[in-house]
Order: sequence, then structure tokens, then C-alpha cells
Amino acid sequence: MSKPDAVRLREDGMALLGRTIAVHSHDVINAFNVISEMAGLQLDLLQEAAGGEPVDLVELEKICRQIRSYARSGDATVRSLNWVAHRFDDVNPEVEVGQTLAKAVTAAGHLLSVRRVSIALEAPDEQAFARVDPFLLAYAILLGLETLTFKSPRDKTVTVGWQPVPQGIEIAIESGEPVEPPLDREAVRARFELLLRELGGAIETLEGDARGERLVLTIPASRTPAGGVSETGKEVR
Amino acid sequence: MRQIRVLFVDDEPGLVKAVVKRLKLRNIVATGVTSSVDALRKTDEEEFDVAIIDVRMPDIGGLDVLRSLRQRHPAMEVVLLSGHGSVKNVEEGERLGAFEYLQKPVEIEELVEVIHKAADRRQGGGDE
Repeated sequence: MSKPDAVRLREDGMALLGRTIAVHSHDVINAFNVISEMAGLQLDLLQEAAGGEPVDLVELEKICRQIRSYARSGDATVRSLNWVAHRFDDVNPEVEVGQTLAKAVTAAGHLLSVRRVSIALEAPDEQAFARVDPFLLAYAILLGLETLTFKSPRDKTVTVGWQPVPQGIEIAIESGEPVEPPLDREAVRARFELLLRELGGAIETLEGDARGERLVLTIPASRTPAGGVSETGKEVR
Repeated sequence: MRQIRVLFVDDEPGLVKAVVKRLKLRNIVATGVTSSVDALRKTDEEEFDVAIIDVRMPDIGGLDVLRSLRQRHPAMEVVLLSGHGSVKNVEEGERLGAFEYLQKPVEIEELVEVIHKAADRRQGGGDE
């Protein structure tokens, strides 16, 4: 990779890291704010009870459950951020694809929460491994999701799925409905070019139809469910 | 004395629910919505003295809602809320005529005080 490309990729990665930290911390602050407000409401109700008003136990129990739910959501957000931060520990480690995609989809979900789209992950019940930079893989997933949800209506569902194929691991990002404005496929390929050079993958943009668009990314596998070993993507059984 | 009517706008349903209940316990007629579109619709349907709006909303940003409300309901006072105080947003909010810019988390008593002050200013300025 030429130096300007490396610099560009590093800058893009830093920008993504910045966005990731900003959005995750916002979501944690949000969870704290709700917990704080709900605890305040509990106090209000208890003070009313102390003043002689009847205690609404059902309401208090509901608030307790909601506080616990927001605490769990905040915890999950911090764990997602922690996962992103640890992606820099190793250079091109061998990663389990399903787990890495699940984490990448969770992180992307935070980044795209403002678009109010749902991201579904469809994965086979098996393990496959790849030697890739998980941060770059997460970046590619985010780019794909961003591309397919640009100006999308609220509550649109986008699916991320993967499966072992003879060439390695095929990761597909699919929009459940047509993308508006229609995809400029050349622009999409250009957008992914630099990342793919680093990931060692290839991108395919399939023609959209009434069911929507599909972006397919194929990365080389290091180990496959059947136990095959492939550094080149040609020896997978 | 007429009760103060407040519209609370935030995209987090749990927060909206809790704040609306807490305001009601303090004798304020509070209504909550979780989107800017719903906020604009609600203010066209009902009269409010004060709107409290989160700056970071997913559909239409809080500052754009403020802009729109200034044109549609100029007498309504608007208080902006934010999870993080960006100087640019504070200045823009002031320029657009926001009554106050508060940073979350806000103590409920502080929020109630600001609501009362905003309602007083609105009464001073006359109803729509």
C-alpha cells in the first residue's frame, strides 16, 4: 500500500474511532440519565408515601425493572466500546468470524442508532476463522451498512450474514427494501477499495430488485468449519 | 392560578416517561413525545407554555425544531437540553431565542425553576 493510502486509511480509522467513542459515550450518558431520572421518580414516590399517600407497589416494581434494564444496556455499551479498544492489541490476529461480526454489528448499531434502522445478524451454527484486522472488518461492515441505509425510512431492517464459501468467508449485507437514492455501484466499489486491499477481500455489488440491495464481501479464511486451512482462500475443503 | 403546560421532547422513552411523571407530581401539566415530528404536530394541536427539547434528536435536530417553533408559535418559550454542551449549539440556541440551555442530567428542582421562569416570561409577553 502506498504511503498516501496508508495515511488515508489511518486517518479514516482514527475518524471512525472518534465517532465510535463519541456515540458509545453518548449512549452510556443516556443510560445514566434515564437511571438517574427513574431513581429520582422512585424517591418522589417514596416521599409521597412517607407523607401519607398510598404506595403504588406495581409502579415501583416497574421502575426498578426499567432501571435494571437501562443499567444492562449501559453495561453492554461499555463492553462494546471495550471490544473496539482492544482491537488494537494485535496486528492481524486470527479472529472467530461470527463473534467478530456480532461485535462489529453491535458497534455499528450504536453508530447508526440515529438513523433508527434495525440491524439483524444471520449466522450459521458453526465457527470459521480469519486473520484480519477486526477494526478494519468492523469499518467495512459499518461502511456497508451506511451505504445501504443512507436516507432510509425509520425502522428499516438491514441484515448482515456470513457463510463459508470455497473462496473463504462470504459476508453479505442486505437491505430489506430498495435503497434510495439508487446505489452508484462504481462509487461503492471505490469507497471500499482501500479497505479491501488491507482486508484481502473482494466486494461485489449485486443488482437491486424489489427486495433491495446486497453488498457481498469475501475475505480469506484461515480456518474453516470443516477444519480446512487456507491462507490463500484456494485450499478450503 | 392556571397550571403551566409543558411539552417535553426527547428520543429516549424511559427519560420522557420519568420526567413527565416527576413534573406532574410538581403540579405541572406535562406531555411527552419522543420525536421532533410528534413535537411539531403536538404543538399545532395543543397550546403549551414551555417546550423542553433535546438538541440531539434523530429525525429533526432540536435547533431546527426551535427554528420552526419560533415561526409557528412565537409566544411559546423553548428550553434546550443537551447531553454535552457544545458552545456552538449554545450560541445558536441563544441566537434563535431559546429561553435557556440546560445540560443533562438536570436536577428536577432546577428544571421546575426554569419552567416557572420561562412561563412567567411568556405571560409577560402575552398569549398566542
